[in-house]
Amino acid sequence: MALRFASAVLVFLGLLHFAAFGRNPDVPTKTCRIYRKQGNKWKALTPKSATKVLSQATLIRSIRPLKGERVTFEWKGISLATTQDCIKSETAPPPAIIHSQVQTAAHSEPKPAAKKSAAIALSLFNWHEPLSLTSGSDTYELSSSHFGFLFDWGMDWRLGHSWLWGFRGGAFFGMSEIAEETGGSTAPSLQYRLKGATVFGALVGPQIHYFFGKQDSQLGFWIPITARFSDWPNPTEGSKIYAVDPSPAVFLGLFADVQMPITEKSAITFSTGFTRSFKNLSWMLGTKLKI
Amino acid sequence: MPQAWSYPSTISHGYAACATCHYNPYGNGPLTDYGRALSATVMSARPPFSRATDEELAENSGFLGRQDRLPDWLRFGASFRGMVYASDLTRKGQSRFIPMQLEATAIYQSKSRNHQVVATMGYAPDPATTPTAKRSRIPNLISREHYWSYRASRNITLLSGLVDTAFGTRVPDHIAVHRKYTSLAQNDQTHGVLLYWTPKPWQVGFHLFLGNLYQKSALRHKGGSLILERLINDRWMLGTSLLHSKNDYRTRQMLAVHSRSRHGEGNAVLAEIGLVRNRSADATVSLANYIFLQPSLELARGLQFLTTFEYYTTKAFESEERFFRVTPGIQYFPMQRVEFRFELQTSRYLGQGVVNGDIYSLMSQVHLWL
Repeated sequence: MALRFASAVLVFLGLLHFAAFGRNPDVPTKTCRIYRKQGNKWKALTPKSATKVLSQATLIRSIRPLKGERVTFEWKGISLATTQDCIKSETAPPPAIIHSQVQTAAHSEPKPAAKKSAAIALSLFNWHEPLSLTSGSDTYELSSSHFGFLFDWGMDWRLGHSWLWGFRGGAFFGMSEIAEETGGSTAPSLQYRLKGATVFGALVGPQIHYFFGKQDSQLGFWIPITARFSDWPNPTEGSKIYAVDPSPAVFLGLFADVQMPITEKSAITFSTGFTRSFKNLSWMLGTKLKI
Repeated sequence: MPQAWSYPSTISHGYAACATCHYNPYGNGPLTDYGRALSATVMSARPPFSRATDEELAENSGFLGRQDRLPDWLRFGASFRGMVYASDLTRKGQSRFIPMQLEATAIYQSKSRNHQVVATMGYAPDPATTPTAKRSRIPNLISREHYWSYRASRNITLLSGLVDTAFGTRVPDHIAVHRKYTSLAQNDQTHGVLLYWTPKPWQVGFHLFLGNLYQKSALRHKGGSLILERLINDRWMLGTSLLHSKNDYRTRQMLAVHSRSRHGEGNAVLAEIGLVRNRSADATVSLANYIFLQPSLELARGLQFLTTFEYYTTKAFESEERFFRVTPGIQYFPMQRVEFRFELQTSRYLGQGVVNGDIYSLMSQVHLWL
């Protein structure tokens, strides 16, 4: 009860502060309204691709809550102006500043990307693979998880304005952990557990990506064929000799692949998809460098 | 999004500080007028069949329409978030509807906007773990947050009341590893005083708290937290957080490093790595570790391809037990005030001689707000 009363007092105190007048807003309301109306005028004169940044700049009529944060307005990866530039200018409203900068930038727009490009990438991967332990007619389901690094090289060609296709391939090395597939909470029926066993191999396959803007943001697919080798020991139980199957293995994968730029020549890449089985999701996370 | 948690990926549009769009300087909770305007013109797609310009959309982004319909000193908001959760698709396959959020907010602000009072009431469903007999004792209508915020100068804001603990990053998903295992989820607000100081290029938050005063005294976590963030450049914010708190049952110490970075227009990567040390009353100590990584790619205005990578272990620096979760999905704002999210959650547990196959769950969320 006391707390609720305290809360009510707090709200009441807040109400009292309505009367408190602090500094004037950074941008007078009347000026803000003028900016808003002018936003439409400048929009008609500015390239359509710059509509978004023009709108952002126009919105700084509400600069009061910005609390001094510096925001850079960009168009096609080119820095046009900051909020501070727009606020400081006494002669031109923000949309006019942005319009002018877009015009200047349009004339110095970078050349379109090359038709052919190559890149190397280093990724952390985690693949899941269903395995089995067999001896004659006896079969036990195993589950394995491989963790390691993938180093790959890729070559791409532009296909029209927004598409890229190419090949990507490389080698991987990692550690695997294997145990019986329990299917949930039941206790494993057979004791075959490995940790830190080596897996290595190579993979190569075609890829196709869609380009978003000129910033090298890409979304696409990669379909690698993987050859995987391992040194998993074959256990024995009495006279029975079990074999881990398949070892080695060749299988197909399907990954949704995303790239996002870090710099002009480097990018973050991450892929999620399936290798061998749709029962488990595999993923890769890494960085790519154009060469 | 007046009552939504924050979307830290807004750095992808050049906005690194949560205070730009939220009344709470560390995000979540109601949006400022500017935040509403941005949500209409940058975060959301253009409404179908609408010929409104972005400026008109911004003007109409207020509660029930035009921003100037209400006097400058008064703002309202309301929010609903629900999810259909289809769990363990490959085995049992159960689905249920989860009401995640139902809240209403009122905000009073002085003309200078230096003083703000924010109060949010919300519906809290009965916890599934609570016995039926005890449920009637648990209030369903609770204060999600209520605070008074005073902007003492351009760089200093003081905030007093019931708020979320200042620590790490905030995302809407309350089962994310950096919210669930840090005990900083949707019902973990605390009473206290928060100092928010922004000497450029730093952002500093110092939060002293007494726990949630609506809880029993023994349960209240009392302590403090510190967030230091630095804007490395226009595209990258790097931060670290510390927390120490204690109640009658445990002492909690946490350390986290987080990063928010922009990768081209509309794309962002949010990352947080942290350690959680718990010391129980019987002197048992545990040290857990988590990693949260969420890249988001803007496919079109309002449409994001999100993938969340999560890792958690109860024993840091050991490889005994490990929990992985990868969640690719789509987040779509077809217009302001509407959000859809479709995600495929794949959870994996390794350890103690067990390598389990993935557990697939499908999450379909709808979020509506005024």
